[in-house]
Amino acid sequence: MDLLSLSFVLFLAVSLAAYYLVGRICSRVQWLVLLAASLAFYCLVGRWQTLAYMLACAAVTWAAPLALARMDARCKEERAAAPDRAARRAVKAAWARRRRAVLVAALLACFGILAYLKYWNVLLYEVGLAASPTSLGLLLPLGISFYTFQSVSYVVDAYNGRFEPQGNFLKHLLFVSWFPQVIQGPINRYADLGPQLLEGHSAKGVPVRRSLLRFGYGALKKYAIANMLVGTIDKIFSNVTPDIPGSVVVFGILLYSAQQYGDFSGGIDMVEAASSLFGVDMAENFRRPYFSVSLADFWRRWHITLGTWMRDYVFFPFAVSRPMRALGARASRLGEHLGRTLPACVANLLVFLIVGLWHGAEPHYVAWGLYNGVVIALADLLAPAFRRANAALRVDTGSRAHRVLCVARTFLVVNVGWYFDRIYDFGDSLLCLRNTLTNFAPQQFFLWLAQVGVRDSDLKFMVFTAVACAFVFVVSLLQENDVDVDGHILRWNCVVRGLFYSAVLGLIVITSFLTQNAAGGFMYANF
Amino acid sequence: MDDDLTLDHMIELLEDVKGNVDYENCTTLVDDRVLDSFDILSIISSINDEFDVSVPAKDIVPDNFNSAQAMLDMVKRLVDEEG
Repeated sequence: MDLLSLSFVLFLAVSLAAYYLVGRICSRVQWLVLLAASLAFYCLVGRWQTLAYMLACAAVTWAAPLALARMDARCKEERAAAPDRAARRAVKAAWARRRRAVLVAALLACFGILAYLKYWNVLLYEVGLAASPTSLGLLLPLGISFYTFQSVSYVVDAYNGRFEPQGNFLKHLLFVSWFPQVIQGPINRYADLGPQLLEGHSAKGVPVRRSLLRFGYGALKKYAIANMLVGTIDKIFSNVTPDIPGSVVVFGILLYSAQQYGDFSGGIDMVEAASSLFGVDMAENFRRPYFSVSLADFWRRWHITLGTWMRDYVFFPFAVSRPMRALGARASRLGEHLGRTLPACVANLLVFLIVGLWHGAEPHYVAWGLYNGVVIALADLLAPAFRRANAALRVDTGSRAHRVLCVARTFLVVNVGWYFDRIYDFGDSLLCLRNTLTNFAPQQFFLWLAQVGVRDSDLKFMVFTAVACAFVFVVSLLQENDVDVDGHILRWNCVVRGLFYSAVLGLIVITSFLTQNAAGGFMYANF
Repeated sequence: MDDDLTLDHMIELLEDVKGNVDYENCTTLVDDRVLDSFDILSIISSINDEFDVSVPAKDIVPDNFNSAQAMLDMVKRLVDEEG
């Protein structure tokens, strides 16, 4: 079921009607409609056979926090009965060990399922024990990485006592399976999403017009940008040979830059809008990442919920661990900055190694993750040198021109990273990088594109994509300057609004017809 | 030790880590991205050095770092717990 299809519109309409109708009768059971809709969506969009994996993940992450809560209660009872301070400490330590064992068991179960379904076949293939990366025929459940990470965050937060665990399994299952998030995130937190899903909502107060506007904006990014480019990118990078011109590579990478942003952020806009129609606001996942001033800033704006997940559950726990503190203390003998920076740099390398593996077990993803980690680590380590250089050269770091230069530099750094992300063979990634620098050959540009099957019409139709990109750029620029673009559009008079909606809808309809053969799904749906 | 646990001392520590921030009044240091992850780690390291107390990972949440007062409250609590 495509998000821009009659079947999805019907699904959404029926779910909304049922939700608000039940809300009029008894708002306390309204959430059951969301659960029914979510399970139905999962079976319709994913494979119903894989539902068992999600149920298993939900069961584990529901039971573990309840067991932890019971252990806490037992610990309190035994501490109250302990005769002295030493005995109370011993009781606390014993229960802390048991609690940790429950946490580890739950994490192993969740990540074990994920690792088996997502990496086991690839690993066997890489060591020559499987005929292909998919030869075992393992079915990858829709959105498995997203619901696993979200469920794990629930367990860890409950372990840290951030909230009372949910006693009702079906309510917890709704948090895990909420249909707008299950395709490609965002990775929500229970404290933010859980109460919204369970409380009653009435249709009054739901920002319908803003939601529809956001759905349309997302559809424009997905259909007029991402789907229009995916075929050309495939043709370019499916035919990497040693003499591929650097100009073609750069063209392909720039298209990929737009395609990936259009696909992922467009899809997120559409599901955020769908969720808000039920009165449920999910976590934001993008904040105009191509306006970032550094790679670290980019990762605070791109796939935000994965970044915050990594920050809270990997970066901080690792960076403040005893070995990292000891490393910082030793490094501080060589300088205060190094002492404070080194643990964060090592933690960043670990985070981006995991981010790379999260995208896939193939070597090019690992290289892409490490590239990001190394660049950010170097930027942190060399920060004092950059500051001194700026001061010596009298660079006005607060000026608009400096900011524009930083944005351009970051765009370049991010795009070098995309070489390792999009070109599926690590050797080919290096080859393309080399040719970008040493064999740009712009005179061979059109000839090469024709050879790999990119038709003149493909290039001509890109004018629609260029218009959509220009539109997204202007909207993003205004939003960067804190302009409420949606609010302005909704205040236009009905004639101007009608013309504007017709133009956007026309662009979406034309490009969706032009890309009927393109993959209808989302890049991140199988993550 | 408790004599050192004052708001002025905490603000002094924060200014050493990152200057040009209104620590006396700002209550959204993390929410408004005034402090990033790197700053938080530096602050934790300074708290460790100055107050001789370790900040565990579970306490690294925005609420504990959104203001100088919140950080001071956290340090006081951790000192009590360790004592």
